[in-house]
Amino acid sequence: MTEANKNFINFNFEHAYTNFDFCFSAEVPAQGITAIWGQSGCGKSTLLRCIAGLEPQVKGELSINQHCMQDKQNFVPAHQRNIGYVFQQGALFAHLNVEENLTYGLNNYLANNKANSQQLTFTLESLVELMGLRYLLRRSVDKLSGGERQRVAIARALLSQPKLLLMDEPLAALDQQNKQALLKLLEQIKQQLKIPILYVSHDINEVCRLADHLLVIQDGKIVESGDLNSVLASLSQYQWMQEQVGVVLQGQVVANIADWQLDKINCHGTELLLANTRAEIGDNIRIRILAKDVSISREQQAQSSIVNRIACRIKAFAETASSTNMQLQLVIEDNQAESDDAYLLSTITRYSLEQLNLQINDLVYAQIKAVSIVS
Amino acid sequence: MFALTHEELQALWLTVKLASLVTFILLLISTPLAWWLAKSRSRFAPSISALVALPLVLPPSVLGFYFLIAFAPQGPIGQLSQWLGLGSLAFSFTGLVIASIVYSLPFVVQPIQNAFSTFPHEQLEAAATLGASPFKVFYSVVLPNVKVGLITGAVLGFAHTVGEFGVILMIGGNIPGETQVASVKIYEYVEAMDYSQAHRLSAILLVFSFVVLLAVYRFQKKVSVTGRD
Repeated sequence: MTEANKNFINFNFEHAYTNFDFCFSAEVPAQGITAIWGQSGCGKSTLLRCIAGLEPQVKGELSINQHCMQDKQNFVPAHQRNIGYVFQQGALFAHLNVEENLTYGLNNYLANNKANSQQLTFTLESLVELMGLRYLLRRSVDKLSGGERQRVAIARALLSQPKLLLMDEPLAALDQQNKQALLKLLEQIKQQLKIPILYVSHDINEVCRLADHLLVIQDGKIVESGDLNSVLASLSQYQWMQEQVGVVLQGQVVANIADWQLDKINCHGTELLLANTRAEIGDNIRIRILAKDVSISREQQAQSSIVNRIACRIKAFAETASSTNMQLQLVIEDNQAESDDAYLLSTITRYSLEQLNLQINDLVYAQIKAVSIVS
Repeated sequence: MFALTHEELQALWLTVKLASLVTFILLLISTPLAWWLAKSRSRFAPSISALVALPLVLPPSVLGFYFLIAFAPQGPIGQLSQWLGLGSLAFSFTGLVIASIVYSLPFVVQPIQNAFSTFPHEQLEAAATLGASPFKVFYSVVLPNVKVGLITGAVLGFAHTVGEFGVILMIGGNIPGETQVASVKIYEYVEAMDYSQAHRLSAILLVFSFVVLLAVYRFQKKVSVTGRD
C-alpha cells in the first residue's frame, strides 16, 4: 500500500440476522468527520457497533491506518481497539460521579499502556475546559441534564485516548437549545482535536453542518460514499432523497445591511444576501442550497423578487430518479479560486431544459429561492 | 433469663455456622447463575428458572424426602459421597449444608438476578470501549451496581437458612452438635411440653429475624433514595 492509503479506515462487514441482513463495505479517510446517514432501521448504528467491536458475532474485516482490527483469523476485542464510543443516551456509570466517569477510561489507558500522564493526547484539564465541565466534576450523574450528560460522555470517550471516535446519534435525545450548543462544541472538537470521527445521524442538517465525508446507508447497504458535496449531488438517483439533493458551501459574513435586516455573505467569490444568520461580521458559516430551490434563467432578470442571482456556467447534466426532472451542475462564474467546491446544483424539468435549449458551458443565471444556514 | 444451656448455645452456634457457610457457597453459585438467567436467551433458561424457584413452592417435607432418598447409600448423591470418601450424608452436617443450599437458592438468586436484569447493558459496552477488560468491567462496573441485590440475596439466604426446619428434620434428625439447629431444638422443647425453654429460644430467633429484615429494608430504602451509599 502507498503512503496515501495509510490514513484510511477500511471495513467490510456482512451478517444476516433473522429479519435484517447487511453488507457494509467502504473506505473512509481517517480524518475529519465522516457522517453515516440513513433512515432509522437502516443499520447505521449496527455498523458503528461492528467497528467498535461490540458485535463479535459479525464476520468481517476492519483496519484503521493499516492496523488490522478484525479479519478472518483475528478479532481484537472492544476493550483493546482503542476506539471511543459515544452512546445515544451517554451510558454514564451511575455509581460514579462526573469526575470518576471522566477518568475511568483515562486510568484504563494509563494502566494498559503503562503510560504516564505526560504522554497523553487529551488531558483531563484540557477537556474539562473545552467541554465546560468544571462546575460539574463533583456531581452525581443522575443530577445531569441531557446536554450535560452528552458533554460528559464525549469527554469521557476522548479521555480514553482513542485513535477514532464513534458517535451514535449523540444529539437525538436533546432539545433544540441543547442540540445547538452541543453542535457548536462538536465543531470546536473537529477544529481543535484532530481526531477522526464517525458520526451516525438521521438528521441531514446535522450532517451538512458537521461532515466532511458522507456515507449513505439504505436497507443494510452503503449506497453512496465520498466527500459531502459529491454525495449530496448523487442523492438525485434515489426517489426517497430527492428533497435532500443540494450543496453545502463555506461562506463568510462580510457586512450587515441593517435597513433590510440582511447579512451579506461572501461565498466563493460571489455575494449572497441572507436573513437571520445570527452571525457576526467575519464569522465563517456553512450554508446549504438545495437543488430544488435553484431555478435557471437565460437573462439576468432584474424584475424578480428573488434576491440571490448568481452567474454560472453549466458544467454537467445528470439523470434523476424522476423521469420529469434533470439535474444541472453549475460552476459559479465569479469564482476566482476555481475550487471544486464552488458549484451549485439545480433540479429543473426536462421540458425547461428543452425550451431554454441549455448546453454545456452556457452562461446562465441561477436564481436561489432559499438558502439555509447550517451553522 | 438468657442464661442458655450448653445444648442451646451449641444449637445456636450450629445454626449460625450452617447459615454462614450456606450463604457463602450460595453467593459463589448464585452470582454466575443469576447472570446467566438474566442475560441468556437460551431456550433452557425458563426451565432452569423454574427449577431454581421450586423450593419456594414445595413443602419442605417433599424436598427433605427426596434428599433422604438421594443421600441413602444406594442414592445418587449417597454413592457419589461414598466414592469421594465422605461417608453417608444423611444425618450429617455436610448433608444439611447441601440440602440448605438447594432450599435457600431462590432467595439468593432472585434478588441478584433482578439486579442484573435491570442493570443497563449499555454501561458494560461503554466500559469495554473505555478499555476495561471483561474482568475489570465485572468488578468496577457490574459489582458496584448490583451491590444491593447481592447484599439482599445474602441476607435473605442467611435468614432463610436460619429459619429452616422441615428439611432438617427430614434429613438431619436431632443430633446435638451435628444437626440439632435452633429450630429443631425448639421443636424438641415443645414436644417435651417445656414451654418456658421454647419461649426463650423462640424469642431469640424472633428478635434476630426482625433485626435482620429491618437492616435489609433500611439499606434498600437508603440506596433507592440517594442512589448511592
